[in-house]
Amino acid sequence: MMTEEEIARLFGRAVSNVDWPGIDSAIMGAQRQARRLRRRRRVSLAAGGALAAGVAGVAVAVATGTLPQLPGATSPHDPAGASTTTPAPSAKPPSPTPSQSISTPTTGAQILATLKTLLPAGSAIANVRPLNNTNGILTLELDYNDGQGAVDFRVVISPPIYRDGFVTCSQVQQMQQHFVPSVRSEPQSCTMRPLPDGSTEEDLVTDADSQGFYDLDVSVLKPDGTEIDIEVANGNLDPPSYETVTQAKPPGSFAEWSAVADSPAWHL
Amino acid sequence: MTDDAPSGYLEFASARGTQLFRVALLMCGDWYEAEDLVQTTLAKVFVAWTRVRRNAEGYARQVMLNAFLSQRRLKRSSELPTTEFRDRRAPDIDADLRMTLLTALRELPPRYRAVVVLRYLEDHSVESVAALMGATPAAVKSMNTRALALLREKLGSDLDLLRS
Repeated sequence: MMTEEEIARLFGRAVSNVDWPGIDSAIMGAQRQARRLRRRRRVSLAAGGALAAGVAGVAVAVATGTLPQLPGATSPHDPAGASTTTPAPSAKPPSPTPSQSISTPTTGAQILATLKTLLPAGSAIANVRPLNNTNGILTLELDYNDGQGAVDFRVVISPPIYRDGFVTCSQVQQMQQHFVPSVRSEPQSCTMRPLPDGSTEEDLVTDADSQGFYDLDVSVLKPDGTEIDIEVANGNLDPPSYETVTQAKPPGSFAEWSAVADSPAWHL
Repeated sequence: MTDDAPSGYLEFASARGTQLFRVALLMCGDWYEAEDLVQTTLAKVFVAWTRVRRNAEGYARQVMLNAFLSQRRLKRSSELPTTEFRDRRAPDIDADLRMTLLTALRELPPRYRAVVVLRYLEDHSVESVAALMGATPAAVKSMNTRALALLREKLGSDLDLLRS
């Protein structure tokens, strides 16, 4: 019978000659993956808080027979005057009413079908990848190309339960201040403004990494609490290319992506 | 390419990456899965570097084990045994031995595989493996005994070859 010492020698022999020629590309890939983790953490941090707040709110409603307190400018995460890069508007995020409920896509295929009707003519999409969403937040990722190079493009639709997770400008600043200082082709910024239908729009230029990779992020919080988020990067983090920056700036403008995020087409 | 990495991270990744990969290779039994596992591990170490740098080695081991077992749980229902591996390295004198061992290891349950790799490649004590896996030492001993028995059975007549 093979002894434990022999087993140990066997294991050692089996891999002692294994070199890993891919280590450098894996380290590079790991850093890009890490940047993506940090970006997602930005969302999940808020979503987790929102879920907790939502659960607590339901408990309050059950106990008192009233609707839970709605979020707004009095959010403990965004006290009045605490907004940093660009002051937030005084308008509170809209309050929901049953009559304002809207129906939004519930599958990746529906998001894709709607998105295709809204993208600029002449643009192309590829490598569409719906993410596994077990928390009710629908995310569709794809490569978007306006003819100048493929970039990461994300559509995120969050149900009303996450309305407390709407990431305010001051929260963005708090989350990004820990990141490594970076170069960028345009300054980080964050602007919030009310829309005529009672929605709140946030336009964000995210922090960038050392290569200048960053996103434009347009989020629209609808009156019923549904959030539609469009994120457009200036590069592509995905394998096999692991390319970083493909364009100096993310394609499109805030106005163009705002029109996409705020389109009635999302309301099925 | 890497000038935004926090101080010390690149040195750690470069120095320890290959050993992490060797562990991952025996756990996964597949070159590409092992690469993915180590890259995911290094990414998580990168994100947490400021907090974990003083025990980066231990943190990386823990992250990798968790990721491996989690990955295994997700894939268990669709996983099919195979005798072919995508080892893209040029043959070396121990290539046959490696392929034989990987084939046998791959037929073990993931937790058993993790136990024997940590015990016999990484030389962790039973207590250390128990801490990493969130199990009791008695449970680890039990898994280790069963894993060795299965491994001997799977290796069968190849044992003599491996001893040579």
